[in-house]
This record gives sequence, C-alpha cells and structure tokens, in this order.
Amino acid sequence: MPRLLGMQRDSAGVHLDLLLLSVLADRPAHGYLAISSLRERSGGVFDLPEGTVYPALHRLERQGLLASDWEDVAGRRRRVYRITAAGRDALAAEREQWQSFARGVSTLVRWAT
Amino acid sequence: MSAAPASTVADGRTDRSVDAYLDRLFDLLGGGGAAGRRALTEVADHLADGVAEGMASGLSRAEAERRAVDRLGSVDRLASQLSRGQGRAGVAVVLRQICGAGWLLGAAAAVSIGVAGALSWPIGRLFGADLIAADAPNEVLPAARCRYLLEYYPHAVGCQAASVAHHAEEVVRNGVAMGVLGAFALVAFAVARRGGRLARFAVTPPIGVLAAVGATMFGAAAAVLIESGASRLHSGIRSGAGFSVVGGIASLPALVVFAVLLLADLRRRAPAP
Repeated sequence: MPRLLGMQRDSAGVHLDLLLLSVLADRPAHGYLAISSLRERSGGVFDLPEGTVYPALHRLERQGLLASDWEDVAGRRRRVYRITAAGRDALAAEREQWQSFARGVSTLVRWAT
Repeated sequence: MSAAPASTVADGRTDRSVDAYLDRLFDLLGGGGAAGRRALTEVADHLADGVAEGMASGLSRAEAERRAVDRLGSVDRLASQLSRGQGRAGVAVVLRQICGAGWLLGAAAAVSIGVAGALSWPIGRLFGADLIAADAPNEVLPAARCRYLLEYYPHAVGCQAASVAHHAEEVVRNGVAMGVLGAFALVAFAVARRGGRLARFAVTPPIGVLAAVGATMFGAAAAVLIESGASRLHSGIRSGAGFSVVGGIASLPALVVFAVLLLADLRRRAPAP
C-alpha cells in the first residue's frame, strides 16, 4: 500500500489522518465528537483505539492541517478542531490518491478467482 | 468490555478509574508545560464524555469509568505519543521514568544491604566474626596497624582476630547505615510524588517493567550471592562466606515483592475469559 502524502497509518492499517481530516472537513469538532462521528459514519468499521486520536490531532495541528481553540460547548470548555485551507488541500489530494488506490484494489479483487 | 476485575489502589479507587488514569497521565506529562496541560484537559474531557455515555447506556459509574479508560488504551503509550510531538518532552518522560526506577531500585537495594548488615550481627556472634569479615586468613598486618587494632579490641586473641572483629563490625554498621538511607530514600520518593520540585524525578515507569527489572535484579543477586557463599563454605573458606549467604537471603524479600507485582501485572493484562 503506498504511503499517501506522508500521512501516518495506525496499527489497523487505517489512514487515521485521512479519516480525521474527512470528519473535520464537514464541521469543527472536539476529540470525542470526532471519534464518535468517525465511528457512526463508518457504521462502526472504524472503531479506533481512542488514545491514538489525540496525538494525531496534535500532529495535524502542528503540520498546519488543523487549527484548534478552546470553545464553550454545551456549557463546557472544549478544545475544538477545525480543518484549515492547507488541510482541505491535503484532504483533496489524499482523497484522490485513496480513491485511485481503492479502484485498483477493487478491480483486482473483482477478477480474482 | 473486559470483565477483568480491577485491583484497588490505596485510596480505594480502582487502577482503571478515571482519576487513576489522569493521575498517571499527569505524572508522565509533568513538565510538559502548556502542551502537557492542554493534553491532560482534553483527555479529562474525553473521559468525562465516555463515562457519561456509558452511564446513559445503563452502566454503573465504575463500569463506565473502566470502559472509558479501556477505550483510551494504555496511559503510558498515550503519554509517550503525546510527548513525542513535544520534541524533547518525549525524551524527558523516558528519562523521568528511568530516574524514578533508579531511585526505587536503588532504595530497595540499599534496604536489602541494611537487612544483610542487621542479619550479619547475630551470624557473627553465633558462628564467628570471620564468616562476616572478608579478611584473608593468614594476612600479615603492619605493626602500627596491629597496635591500633588491639587497642580497640583488647579481648581479641591476636592482631588477625582484632582485624576480623573490626571488619565484621564495619560490615554490620555500614550495612545498617545503608539500609537506613534506603528507607529514607523510599519515604522521600513517596513524599516527592505528592508534589514539589523533586516530583518530576519521582515518576514510576510502567509497573510491569519496574517489577520485571526488580525481580531480575534481586533474583540474580540472591542466586549469585548464595551460590558464592555456599561454594566457599563447601571448600572450607570461611572468610566473608556468611555475609555472601546473608546478602543473598536479604535479597529474597525484594525478589518476592517484585515477583508478586509482576504476576499481578501479567494477570491484569491477560484477556478476560
């Protein structure tokens, strides 16, 4: 599997960075909400070890792909992450590579006997 | 979620409780500055959400806390990953753990030496001081040294016996002094963990690692010392043989403590049936 855009994969082989950017591209979210959204939107397929998510969020923020701020959410002060313009560019490029990769795998698997 | 029973810590919390998890994370991220405080706050918020969700789904508070903690995964790994992003702070976490391990293992070794020193006294009295002192049997001492020794040990039957008595006394006195220092170091560790400038050095490494290193260290010490003393006695060499055996025996309590900790840690990590 190619290593797309230098993004990191977790131990399950999932492109964690791609998944987080995808979730946060729709709406800003704090860590717990991002994880819950990821789980729900993937139909439970991406039930990630939650401890891997915060280091990934921090890393993406250091790379300039995410930005974060403390905000009041339902009466509590939470660190809310939002995707940056650079993050959207990276997500678009990553998504394109991923879809191309997925098409290739899908074609191969379909013709396998 | 895992049904493995959670062991309890001193204040009655389980070691898989949210508070215990955050305490440990605080220890490991200590010195991380604003980034460390932010990470701690985020994880605390995350756990609070996880507990609330668990309780809303019908779990008891303890079950919900265990589930939330289990979902986050190993606190040591999380701290390591969070710190890695902070550059040198990741190295600092490891160095602090090494300092803490050195502090604890050094203190335990010093206490064992103290026990060996204390046990040496009755052994010397009952079976002869030469079993404790490692003086060569036919060592010839300078006249001035002999005069000095006989002045302090007037009941000794000759210069050699006075030297043996002197060294046996040193073994007991220095050993006990070392044991007292070790006990102070253990108390100081417990006090330092409560806060203050030394708190950053009183961080324990993962308990399984500490227990494995401790059990190996004290197990090896016990085996080598007992074997060495026993083989010397078997060969008819008495000088210092008793202290070797006593030193080995004094290592056994620490070996047992670390072995029990190691087994408990392995049992806790074992998957629930």
